[in-house]
Amino acid sequence: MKPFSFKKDLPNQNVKLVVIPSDLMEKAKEALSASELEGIVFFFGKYKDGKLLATDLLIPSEDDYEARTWGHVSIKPEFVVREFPKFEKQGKTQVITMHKHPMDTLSSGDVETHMNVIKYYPHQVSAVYNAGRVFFYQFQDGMKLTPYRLVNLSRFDRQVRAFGIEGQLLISSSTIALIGVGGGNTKIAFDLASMGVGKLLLIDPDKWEGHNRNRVFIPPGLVGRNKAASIKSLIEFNYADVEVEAWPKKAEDVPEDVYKQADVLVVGPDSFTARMFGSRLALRLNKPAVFPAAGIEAIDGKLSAMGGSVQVLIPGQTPCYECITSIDSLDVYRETLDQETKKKLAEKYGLGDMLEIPVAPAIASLNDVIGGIALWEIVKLITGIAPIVEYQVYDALKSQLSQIIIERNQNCPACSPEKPLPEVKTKEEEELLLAVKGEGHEQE
Amino acid sequence: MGMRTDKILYGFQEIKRAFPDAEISNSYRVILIPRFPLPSQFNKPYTSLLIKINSDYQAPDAYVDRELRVYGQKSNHLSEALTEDYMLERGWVKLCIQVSWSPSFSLVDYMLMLMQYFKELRE
Repeated sequence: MKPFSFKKDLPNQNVKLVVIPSDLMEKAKEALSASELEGIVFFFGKYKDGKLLATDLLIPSEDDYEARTWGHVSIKPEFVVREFPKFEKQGKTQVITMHKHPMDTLSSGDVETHMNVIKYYPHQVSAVYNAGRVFFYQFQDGMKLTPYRLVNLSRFDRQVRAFGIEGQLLISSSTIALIGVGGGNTKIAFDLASMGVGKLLLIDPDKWEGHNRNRVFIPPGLVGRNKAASIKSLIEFNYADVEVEAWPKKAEDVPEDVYKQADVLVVGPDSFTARMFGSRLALRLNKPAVFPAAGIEAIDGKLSAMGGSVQVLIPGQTPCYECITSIDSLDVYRETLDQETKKKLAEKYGLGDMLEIPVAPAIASLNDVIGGIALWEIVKLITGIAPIVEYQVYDALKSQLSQIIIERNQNCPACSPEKPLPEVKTKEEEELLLAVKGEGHEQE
Repeated sequence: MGMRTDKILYGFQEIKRAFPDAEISNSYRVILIPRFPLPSQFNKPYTSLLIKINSDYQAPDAYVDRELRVYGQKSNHLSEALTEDYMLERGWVKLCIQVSWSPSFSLVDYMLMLMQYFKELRE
């Protein structure tokens, strides 16, 4: 047989992941195993952000085969003409072919067929099923193996009724990075695990303290243990289908490749510098980010303000964190100076505890509300089920949730579009160094 | 033009909005603010402020007029001991300020830190 040769001008496909419900895959395998001869099945679905999502399975009957031997299979054209448009009408415009094959790789004939099919279905992948194993291939300067994920939908029945299979496959194949695993983000992490998110990246250098237990459901035995590592163990114990990575480090010390895996960043810490880092990271990696924030003001046990906000950042589309937040240098001092320096400065200048980060009041209901709002924005970002809200503010004392219109700051140091640099008049360095004694700069 | 130079020039533009007299050297390493306002504990209402930007955009150094006094006294935080001789000779003294600097900070961030520092300097 003459080997298939690729034309040089063929565009590469860009399927990062094939996602298939496990029950569909079982049915497909069953159909292909029913005969000693080669057979073929078709998955239909959609393509979104590099993911090929299979929601339906089409199994040809014996009459639909044009030819079928132990080493070759072909389908009657009328089967394709009759059946494929039914799926297209439902918006399921992508197809995955899977055929039984005596080896793990595609034959030259299979490759030729693949190259013809992608003219009509540009994200089509071709799978072979051999001795219980499945391999997916796409064209990327030659046929390349493509990763796939099987999703057991059984525990998500109620969600599938809300989001459809496609929505659940998107959730189950998503990776969410949670920067900070404190009172708020822990709830979001647990809820994402319940919803069946594919992978969680938990980042937090801190340990649980006893007083955290008023708002986070953690056993007493976890007090003193790292937050990220302990939440990983709790989630893995309860939801084996959710992959979790724990990074017990400051967000800035986690390798950027870790964040690159994420579909969404959730930037939770109260720390200004960590939020600024998260915002700039999202801009740099071109990833959406959600910023949940909660705060309570109370004097002598009397509440004066209680509420929070949730901001959604989509790089290039919505304002970033720094567009709407002004720098408070005292906060920067509090968060960046080490304890020894703080102590020295406080003693020298009589600052008392001004440089210490104040212990803020915190109650569970506020974290629940803000966490819930943030979770919904995350789900919307993943599934596209509804438009995101860029900024919303919750006033707990009035039980009021408001959408706030925010605008990009054209001079934002982090995300303002690059403007041509204005002409800058410069001087010799030595000239500036002499300025303090120079005639033009006399002190008043 | 490198990313670091871009960042310095953008930062300088921002500083110039607040201090129109600000000047930058052609090496982009030195920024001069001729009339930087000071709080009342100082012996002068203004000082010349010189910011030296270090290599790789590490924490900048700040220098002020060597003749500055705080409540009439020489301040330990305007450290002649830490100031290079050639700067002392030119009338500058280095500001002894410790900040945890991140290269993601802008020069405006640094200016804000300096302002806060001057406000709180008491001896």
